Amino acid sequence: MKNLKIVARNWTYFIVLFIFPFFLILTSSILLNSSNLANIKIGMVNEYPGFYLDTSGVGNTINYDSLDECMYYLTNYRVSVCIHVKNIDNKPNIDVYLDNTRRLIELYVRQTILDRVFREQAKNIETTSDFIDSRMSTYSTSLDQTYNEVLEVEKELENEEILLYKYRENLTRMRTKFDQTYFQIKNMQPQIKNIKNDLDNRQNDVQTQINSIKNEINNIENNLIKAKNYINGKIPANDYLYFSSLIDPSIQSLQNIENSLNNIQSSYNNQEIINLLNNVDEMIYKLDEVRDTLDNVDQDLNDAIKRMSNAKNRVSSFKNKIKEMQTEIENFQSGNNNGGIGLNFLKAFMATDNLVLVAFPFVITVIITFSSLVLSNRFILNQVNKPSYQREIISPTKDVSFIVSDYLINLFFVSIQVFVLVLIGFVWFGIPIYKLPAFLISILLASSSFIFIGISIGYLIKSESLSTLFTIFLVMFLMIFSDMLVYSVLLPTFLKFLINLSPFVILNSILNDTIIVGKGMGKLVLPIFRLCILVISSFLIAYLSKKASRENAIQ
Amino acid sequence: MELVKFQDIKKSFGKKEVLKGISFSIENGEICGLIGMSGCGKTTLFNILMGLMNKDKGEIFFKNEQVKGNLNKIRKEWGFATQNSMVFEELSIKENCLYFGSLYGLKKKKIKERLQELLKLFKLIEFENELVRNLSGGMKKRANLLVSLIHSPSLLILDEPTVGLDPILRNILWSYIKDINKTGTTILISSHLTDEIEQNCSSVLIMKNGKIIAEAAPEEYLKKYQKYKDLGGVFEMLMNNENI
Repeated sequence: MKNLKIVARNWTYFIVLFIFPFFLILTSSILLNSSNLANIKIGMVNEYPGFYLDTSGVGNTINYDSLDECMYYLTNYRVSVCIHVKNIDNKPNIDVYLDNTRRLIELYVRQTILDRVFREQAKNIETTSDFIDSRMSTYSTSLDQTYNEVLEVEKELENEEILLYKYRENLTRMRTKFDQTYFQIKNMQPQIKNIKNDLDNRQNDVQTQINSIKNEINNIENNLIKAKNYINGKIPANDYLYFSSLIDPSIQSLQNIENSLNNIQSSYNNQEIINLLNNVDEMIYKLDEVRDTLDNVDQDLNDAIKRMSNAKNRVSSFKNKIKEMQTEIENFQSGNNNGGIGLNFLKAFMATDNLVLVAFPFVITVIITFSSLVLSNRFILNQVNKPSYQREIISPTKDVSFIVSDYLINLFFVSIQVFVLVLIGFVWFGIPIYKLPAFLISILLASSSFIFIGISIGYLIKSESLSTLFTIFLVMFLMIFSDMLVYSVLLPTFLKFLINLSPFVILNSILNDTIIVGKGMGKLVLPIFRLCILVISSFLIAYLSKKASRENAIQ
Repeated sequence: MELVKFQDIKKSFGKKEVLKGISFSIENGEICGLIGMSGCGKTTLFNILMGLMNKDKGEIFFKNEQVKGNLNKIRKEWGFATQNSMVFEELSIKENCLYFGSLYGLKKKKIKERLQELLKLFKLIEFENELVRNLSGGMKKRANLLVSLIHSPSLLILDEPTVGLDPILRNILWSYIKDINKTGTTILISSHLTDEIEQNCSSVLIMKNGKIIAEAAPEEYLKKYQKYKDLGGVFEMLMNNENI
C-alpha cells in the first residue's frame, strides 16, 4: 500500500511506468500497422511488351528505361527490388535483383514475386486453358485432315512423276527412231544439193549452146537474105531465080533448124526435179525443227520431273512439320507446357553472407548509441545535480565552452569503445583496412550527435532516475524506430522520412554499406552529410538545453 | 563607498510574494550580516544577486553599475559560497581551484600563486592535493571558501556558511572570514545565528516576511533597544512584533 501511494503521488514514476511504455507501444503499433508491402518501391524494366506482372498490393511500381538506371536506384536504396523482364525465345524471362543486405525484405520480396509470377502463370493457364482445349481439338482435327490431304497430294505427285517418267521414256524411244530416219535424210541433203546444182548447170549449158546455135543460124540466115538481095538485079533474072531457088530452101531449112532448136530448148526443162529437190531440202529443215522441238520437249520433261521431285520433297517436309506440330499439340494437350515464364533471383549487392559480419553493424550501432547517449547523459546528470554546478552557473564562462568540454570528454570515452570495436572488426572479423575511414567518420559523427542529445536530456531532465530512464527509453525508441522492428521500406513515405532522419538508422545504414556491401567513401557522401547536419542540429539543441537549464534554475 | 545597492527588489513564487521591495546597500570593506527567520527570503535574495534567480522588479547596482546586462563582467568580482560544498568532491583542492579559476579566465600560474596564498590563509597547505571527499566537514567548509576566493572577488557572498558546524569550528570559520575581510574583500553573509552576526559583522540587516525591517551596526541595535542585552533579544522582539 505504501509503495502504491508513493508511485501514485510521484509524477516521475507515472511517466516512467505509464507514459514511456505507452509511447513505445504506441510507436511500435503505428509502425506495425503502417507497414505494408504496398509501400515497397519496385523498379520495373520491361523489355517484353506483351507481359504484365501484377504488382498491385505488393509495392509501388516505378518503371525504368534501363536495367542500369534501375540498379542505380536499387543500390542507393531508393527501390527495394529491380524486376527485369526480358524476351528470351518469345518467352518472358524475369530477373529479380534483390536488396540482399536486408534479409527480411529480400525474403518478403522473393516470396511475393514468386507468388505473383505463379499467380500470373496460373492466371494465364486458367484463362487460356478452356480456349486451348477447344482450339486444340479443332487444330488437331484440322491438322489430321491436312495431313491426310497432304498424303494424298504426295501420292498424286508420285503418280504424276511416274507418268512423266513414262512420257520421257516414250519420247526417248520415239526420238531414237526419228533420229535413225532423220540422219539418213540428213546425210542425203548434200547429195541432193549437188544434184540440184548439176541439173541447174546442165540446163544452163544446153540453153546457152542452143542460143549460140540459134544465133549462128540467124546470122547465116541473115547473110543469105542479104546475099540474095544483093544479087537481085545484078545477075540475070534466071540466074537470080535459080540462085533464089537454091538459097530459099536453105533459109527455110535454117528456120526449120531454129524451130527445132526452139522445140528442143523448150522441151529441155529440169525445174520440176529442182522443185522436188527444194521440197526435199525444205523437208529436211523441218525435220531439224522437229528434232529441236523434240530436244526441248525432252528438256521440259526433265525439268518437270525435277520440279515434281522438289514438290514431292517439299510436301514430304511439310508432312513432317505437320507431324511435329501434331506431336507438340499432343504434348501441350497432355499438360507438359506450364506457361513458360523464366524466373531468376539475383543479388543486387556483392554482400557477405557471413551472419556474424552481417549482424556486426547493428551491434556496433546499438553499442555506440547506447553508450554515447547514456554516458553523456549520466555525465551531465552527475554535474547538474551537484552543488558545484551552481558555481559553474555563476561563473562568467560561456555555455558553449561547457558543452564543448563535456562533448570532448564523452567523445574520449566513446573512442575507447570504438577502439575496441575497431579491433574486433578489423582484426577478428577481418574487415579490410580501407573501410576504416568511413567506419570511423560515421561513428564519430553519429556518436557526436548522440552525445549532444544525451547532454540535452541531462540538462533538460535533472532528475537522475527519470533522465536515465528517458535516455534508455530513447535508445529503445531509436531501435524500434529503425529497420529492426519493421523495415522502413514497408512504411508510408512520411514515416520513412522520419525514420531516415534518425542518426541510429543513418549510422546503421553507413556501417552496413561499409562492412557488408563494401561501398567506398565516395558513395557515402550523402548519409555522412546528413550525419553532419544532425551533429550541428543536436549541438544547437544541446546549447539551447543548457540555456533552458540555466533559465529553469534561475526561474 | 557604496559597493552593492539593492533597490526595491520584488520576487513572487506564484501568488506568494517572497520579496516585497527590498532596498539596502553594502559599503565597501564591511562584513554585512543578514539575519532572518527560515523562509523569510534570504536565500532567494542571494540567488537573485548571484543571477541564479530572476527578480520580478527592482535593480541591483555594483560599484554604481547596473548588474542587469553586465552580469558576466560583474560575476568576476563576486565570490559565492553556501552551506553546501560547491566543489567537486572527486577532485583535490588544487584541482578544484585550477578548474574554477579557469572558468574565471585566470591563467594557471596566477591560480597557483593565489592558491598558495589561500592555502596559507585557510591553513590547508598539507591538504592541497587531497581529494575533497577525504576532508573533514570543517575542512570542506574551508575548501569551499577557498575555491570561492580563487579569483580574488571584491564581494564574497556567504549563505549560512556555518550551518551544521560545532561552535569551535564555527569560530574558526569566522576567524577565516574576518581574515578574508582584512584582505579587502567585502562580505555579505546570511545566518540565523544572531550571536555570531553580532560578534563578527560591522552592519546587520534584519529581514522579516520579505522585507528589510532594520539596518544598523550591532551596537546601534543595542543602543536603540537598550532593554535587550544582545542582538538575539532584539531580533526575537522584532520577529514577534506583529506591527513591524
